[in-house]
Amino acid sequence: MKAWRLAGMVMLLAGCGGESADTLLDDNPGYAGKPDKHAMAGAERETVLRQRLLKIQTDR
Amino acid sequence: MARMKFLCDDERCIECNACVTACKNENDVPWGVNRRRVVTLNDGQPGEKSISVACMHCTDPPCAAVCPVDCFYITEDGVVLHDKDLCIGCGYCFYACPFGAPQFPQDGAFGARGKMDKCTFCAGGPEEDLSEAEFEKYGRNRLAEGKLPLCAEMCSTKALLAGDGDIIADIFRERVVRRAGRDDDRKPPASPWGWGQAYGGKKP
Repeated sequence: MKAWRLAGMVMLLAGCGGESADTLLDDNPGYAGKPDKHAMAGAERETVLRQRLLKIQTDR
Repeated sequence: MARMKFLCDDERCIECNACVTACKNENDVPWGVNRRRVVTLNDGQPGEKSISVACMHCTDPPCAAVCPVDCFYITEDGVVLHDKDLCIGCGYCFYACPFGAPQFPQDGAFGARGKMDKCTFCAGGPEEDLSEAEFEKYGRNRLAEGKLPLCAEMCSTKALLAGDGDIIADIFRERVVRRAGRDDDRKPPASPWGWGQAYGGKKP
């Protein structure tokens, strides 16, 4: 009886080891929603924010 | 395209907590949530260090990697934002974040968690820019107004910097070089505090 139980346990545990790491890890499929569009155009935005940084955040 | 970053200069931070207050006020942050905190190491001892910490807008954010509903996205500026309509308040992002940035308001009875709230780099969220819905859910969208995060803009000692990572790196480098050239007793190390510990070499 004990041997049967042991054999059953071994078979049960052996079944759990078959899963590879690739299937267990989430590869982050990406954002599921809809991103917004920025109010300012790319180049303009960069210039404005750059000026702002250099004007306000550096030592007076 | 600029890549937005925060940097806190520990040699300048005086733990005034004005950045925390400014953030809460500007973004109408709910009770019990702090998007930004000032952390002090060796408090009360000579040589104590304070830094202001919020979401660091990681390049490869672990919060996004663990999110089961994929509610995170990165803008063109490198700002990590999330969609509160998708968020289920599970708290995985809180466990994954090394800075403790994701915060959860108490929403309902028995301390039930609400939707995650974190620093948006004052860039709002996926709602239409400068709309009322955006302000209610995510706070002010200062980037759309051509401004940078208020926490950094109003920092009195200019310890907290926010903006294009390249420009900030230049400003900080200049400071470090200037400090290294000081000719007095309080000569601080030539490299940023903790640099040696993080990257090896001589500990400052």
